[in-house]
Amino acid sequence: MDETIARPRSPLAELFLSAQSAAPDDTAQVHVQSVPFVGQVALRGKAEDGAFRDIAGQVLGLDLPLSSGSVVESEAVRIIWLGPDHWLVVTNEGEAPALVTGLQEALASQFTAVIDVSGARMRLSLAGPAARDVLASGCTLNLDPSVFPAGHALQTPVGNATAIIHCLADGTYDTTPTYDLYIPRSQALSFWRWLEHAGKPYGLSVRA
Amino acid sequence: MMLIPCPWCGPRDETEFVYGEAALERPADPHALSDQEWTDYLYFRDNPKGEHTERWFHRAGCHHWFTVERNTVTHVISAAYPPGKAEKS
Ligand SMILES: [Zn+2]
Repeated sequence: MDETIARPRSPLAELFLSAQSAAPDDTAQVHVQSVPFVGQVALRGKAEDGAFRDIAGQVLGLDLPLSSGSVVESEAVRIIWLGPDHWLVVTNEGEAPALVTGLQEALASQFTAVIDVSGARMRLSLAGPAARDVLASGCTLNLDPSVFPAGHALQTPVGNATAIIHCLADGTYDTTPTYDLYIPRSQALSFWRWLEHAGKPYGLSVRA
Repeated sequence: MMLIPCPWCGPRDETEFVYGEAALERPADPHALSDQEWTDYLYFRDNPKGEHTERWFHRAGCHHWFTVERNTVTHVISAAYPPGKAEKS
């Protein structure tokens, strides 16, 4: 039997980002880090169904967020609201299968769907004084901290991809604007090309 | 360009949405309709100059259909709500 194990491959593998990150540019106003493998689980169920919410909340250890833009987090998971019956549960690489099993077993008698979608998106972390300006150049949402503060996440087109933008730090109180972007794998390479272009005026540096 | 108020996500750029069609009430019992009435329901649409009730899909956001009341002349959207709520006929 063939002992070769298929290893996951970053959608950006052909860019050899590790070589670029060997010499980061400290004068750059935007730093980007590629996180190709993130555990992700799509959780579908009706927000108005109290039994579903209770069970999902018990398994995840957090109450599901119920409004647009909202995110809840623990050490283990991050739950992002994507719609009135749709949540993205983000966890560490490799931890999605156990989470799926746990949720499916607990929710077996409920009208729900729990799917491992770890292969659906990759994560890019964008940080730096100009991070918001770069995003804003390719996005129609108002990203000002007064309406899109730290701890909020929204799904919307950015550049040429449909991204989930999660604001981790919004630049207020001397923080460095920091955003996690979840980009569909199939759009990752062209999104990266857009990002390089959008970041050029500010200096874009790749971090390991 | 319009700003369309998704009932769940709030106002978003028109490019995030897909237009569906006129919001019509489905015939309760299709078998009771004559061929002509069924054909009218399936294929023929009013093309009003003014108020129009229609369905839009939030393709790049929450992936939900909803109902919009829009003026086809001014593009002013007077209401947007989840499907199934009371609609103008
Ligand atoms: Zn929406």
